[in-house]
Amino acid sequence: MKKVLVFSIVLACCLAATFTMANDVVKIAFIGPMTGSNAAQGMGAKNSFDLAVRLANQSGDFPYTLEVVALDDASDPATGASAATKIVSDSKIIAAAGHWNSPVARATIPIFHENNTALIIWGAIGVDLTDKYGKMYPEITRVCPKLDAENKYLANFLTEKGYKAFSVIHDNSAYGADCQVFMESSLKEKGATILSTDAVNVGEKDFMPILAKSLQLQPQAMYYGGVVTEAALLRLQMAKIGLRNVLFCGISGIADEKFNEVAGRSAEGAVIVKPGDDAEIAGWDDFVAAYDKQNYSEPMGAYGKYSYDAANIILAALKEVGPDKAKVVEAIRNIKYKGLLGEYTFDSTGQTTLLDMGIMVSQDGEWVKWDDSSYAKGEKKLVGLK
Amino acid sequence: MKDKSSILTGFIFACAVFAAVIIFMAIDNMAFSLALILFYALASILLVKTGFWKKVRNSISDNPKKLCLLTACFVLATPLFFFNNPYVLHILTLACIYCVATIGLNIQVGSTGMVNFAQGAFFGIGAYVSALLGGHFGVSFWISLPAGMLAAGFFGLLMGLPTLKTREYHLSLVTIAFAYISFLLVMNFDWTGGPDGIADISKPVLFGFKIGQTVTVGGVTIPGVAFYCYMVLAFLGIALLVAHRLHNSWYGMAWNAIRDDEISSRCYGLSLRKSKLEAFVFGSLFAGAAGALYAHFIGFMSTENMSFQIGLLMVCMVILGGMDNIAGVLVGTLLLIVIPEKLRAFDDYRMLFYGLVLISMLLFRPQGIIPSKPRFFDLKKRV
Amino acid sequence: MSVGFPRPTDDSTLLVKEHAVSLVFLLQIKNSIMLGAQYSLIAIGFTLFFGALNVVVFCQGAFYILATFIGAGLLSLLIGAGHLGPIVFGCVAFAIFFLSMCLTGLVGVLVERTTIKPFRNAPLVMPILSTIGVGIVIEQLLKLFYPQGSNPQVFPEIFPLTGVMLGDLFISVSELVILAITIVTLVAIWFFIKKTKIGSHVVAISQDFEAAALMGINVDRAIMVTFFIGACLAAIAGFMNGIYYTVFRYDMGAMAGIKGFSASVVGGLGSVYGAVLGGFLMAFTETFAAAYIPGGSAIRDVFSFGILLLFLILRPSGIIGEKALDKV
Repeated sequence: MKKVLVFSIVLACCLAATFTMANDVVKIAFIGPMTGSNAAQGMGAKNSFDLAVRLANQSGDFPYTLEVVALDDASDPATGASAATKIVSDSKIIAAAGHWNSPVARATIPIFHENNTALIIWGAIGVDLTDKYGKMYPEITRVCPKLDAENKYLANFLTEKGYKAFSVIHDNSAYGADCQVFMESSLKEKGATILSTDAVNVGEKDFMPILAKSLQLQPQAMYYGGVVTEAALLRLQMAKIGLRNVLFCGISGIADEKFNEVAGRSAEGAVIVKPGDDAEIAGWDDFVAAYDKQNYSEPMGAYGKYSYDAANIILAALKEVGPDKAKVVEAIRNIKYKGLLGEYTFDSTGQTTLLDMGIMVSQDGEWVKWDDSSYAKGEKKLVGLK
Repeated sequence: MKDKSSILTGFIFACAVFAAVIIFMAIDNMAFSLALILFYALASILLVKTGFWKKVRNSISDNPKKLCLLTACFVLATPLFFFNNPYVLHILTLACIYCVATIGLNIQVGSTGMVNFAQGAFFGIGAYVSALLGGHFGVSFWISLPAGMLAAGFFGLLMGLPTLKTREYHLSLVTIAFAYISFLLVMNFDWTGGPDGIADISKPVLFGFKIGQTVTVGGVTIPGVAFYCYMVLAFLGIALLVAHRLHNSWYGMAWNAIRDDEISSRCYGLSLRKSKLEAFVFGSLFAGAAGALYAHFIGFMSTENMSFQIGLLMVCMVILGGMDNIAGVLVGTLLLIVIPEKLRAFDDYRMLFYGLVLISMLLFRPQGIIPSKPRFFDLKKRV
Repeated sequence: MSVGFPRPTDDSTLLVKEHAVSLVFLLQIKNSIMLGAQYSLIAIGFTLFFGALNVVVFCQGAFYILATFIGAGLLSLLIGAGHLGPIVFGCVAFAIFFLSMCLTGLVGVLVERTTIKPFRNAPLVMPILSTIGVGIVIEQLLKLFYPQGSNPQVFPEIFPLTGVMLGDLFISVSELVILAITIVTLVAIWFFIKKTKIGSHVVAISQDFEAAALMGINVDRAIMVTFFIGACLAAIAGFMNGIYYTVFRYDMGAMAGIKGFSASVVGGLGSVYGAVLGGFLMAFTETFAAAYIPGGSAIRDVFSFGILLLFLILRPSGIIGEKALDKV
């Protein structure tokens, strides 16, 4: 017993000694879903974030070494809250970029605000995050478009093309429910009619009962508010039941190559809104090349560029005012930064004024920009219209 | 007749545990945490093998009051070490909140032998009721918490009633169904916020002081979390006291009797119906309280925190720690909350870890880390 | 209703002209039958396990999804191997089906030996807990070690897209195959229980464990066979799941398991006919609730659990219950 006690005291001393690692290090944090069903998005964003910091360290622009602290929120508010607490407890962490899931962001925003730490949202598109919180708390900003903007863009595009009768299906996560609300209001504004609205649980496999209803209602287009797996299942079952000639559409939640991969042939001709018009971005090719050079095991996904820009915005603010949390908060809010997606400024709610979105259509197993597609050129026709 | 064991062994043990906990919580490095875990595990096994553990147990049972006081002092002192590290306080507070819930679960699983997977649902009911009352009606925390408790207790009763006729495993199945149904219903109702959950849950206010705000006193910054931590510790203390008294009362005796042999208990005259319902209600009261504490702590509540998985996790905590043993349950809960936080690099393996822990404990040590002691009545003392 | 012979129709040209309510109704029935087939097979597994050992084996769902993964993995290897003639392809595909079934069956036996046998004399709640644990472990292992396990997977298409017309209703080849497999399996089970010696052993054990042992039945072996078959049934359902839905993910097993379990409780734990009845009953209730009750698709799961709860409380022996509550 005595031996055990002595051992533990010695061990404790050794461990305590390692605490004194005084170094000129400034850390910035990344939170996102690195496990769970949204891990693909989170990991892609994390890698891009990491890339930005690496490049910054290599450039030698900073008098100190920059370090990334990446924490998992597992798409769960409680895990996100502990991650956020961990971040604000470390005085070396100056700012953070976070979240793909809006509920998690709602749980962590108060923590960041109370500790005067900047949080740039790179992927969560819940409207209230800026409309409500960004307005109240100067720490909160967001670089990706909001959910309502995406839905409105899609609604405008489709109604202009002549679609008038829609069926809406959504999952009952916070994201799906919000999608339904905004899509329907945007559609109604443009004079379209909503033939049916149905909700499913996340993880639902069997859409046949709902689709059978649609056979009677004969919509021209079917909108799905949710994420990739269910969207692919839905599209496959649409084809199976005889609804292949109904247009399938959605927003960024299904803007993943996995959709094309999984839905296979039936993905052809599906229309989505995707944040960002990739190819026209200045420096895009360099970004892709740099990303590939690092040999990350996950692709950058749809949100890699936002996370990259978020990291660079933080770094730009750091360069401007130095590693001071409060000053960085202010600097970010007032920043004019030219990133991958254009010149960023933030409005009074912390939402980026950049409104870059593009329509994409699934062609031959890939998401292709609308303007580049055979559909736009008239070689192929979108289904659903008589 | 043995002499009373010296209080010294218990004292040394308490000090060692205290130091061990502080060190473990303070370490930030993953590799060191892992090494420390292995070290502690080894040390514990050594402790038992060399017979020292027996001495400690005797010391505790012979000097209960003094050692309890000492432990309480240590526990109250622990947050003091982490005023500069709110993250650790956050984890500790979370663990203590779950402890309140698992102590309640212990009444059902450990004392009465009814495996209840719906504790997460009661946790959630307490949380939602408290959050809704506070948010929509501006009710003070000190009223909404008991309200949450009562709501949870009511639903506990509701779930308990139909299980009275069923056999033990049917009971577990009923609890599983109940857990899923509550989860789905809460998710689909609009007034519970649906999948969005409830945000902006306010912190409790005591005599004008908001518990959770950071305060600077004489150059020392006391983070808000520390205050909440102490509040939760107070509740935990009450919970422990109540659970302990219940265990040593006729309630506890009846529960244990039912667990051991239902038929004999009935022959003896115990009302199975009454005792089982009491177990359900008490257990859910605890869960409801924990839920309310949780909601006001995180400030945000959604259905993800009242899922079947949470209920399953709580059952794991009870089994890991030791069924029917309050101290064991505390240990189990702390381990299953703190270790995954410390080993965040292995997040991907978190669920796998839980599953393996469950299976291993059941196969190799079903009595848990700290097995419960059988009741022992020293007749000679009465003479 | 006339049955037409297979025409090379692509489902896309089958935009339904008359959207008769009756046709939609028929579609819903077809959906229910497909779903019911899966639930029934899983449910029979539960029933067999429960009958033999009074144990609720919660990892049945994990076996289900494990088979889907094995099947998908092997089939994609087959497809990747290049172009083979349809007969050869068909035979190999069938062999893969058989192989995934047997592998899963073996996993079932392994699980029984390691995590259920030790609890034979322990309180009945222990195997419930340990099988929940096993289910978690299997799913997590799939997620971690199958390439891109956490993402949705595609089950390779192995059937042509043609089908038959039953009046106005289109039934595809894959659906016919699923029906055929289900019927064959049910017949095989019946045959096994009624006509084979080992089948009678299994029945004997479920009636009275000790008496069966006293009669000289190799109880251990009978239990192993029970688990092998039960897991095989889950595997068949899993394979069919892959064929029908084409998309699957590692966490889909748990829900399927619970629904299959509800089905067996509703039908009567211990009765194979009850399991089949329960499976179809659950499937029909779910489908029609989702189709005809407004907002029903979101709470279709509530219906499943609600029915489970009702039966557990009011009639635990199920519809065709055989095991009565013991009275003292």
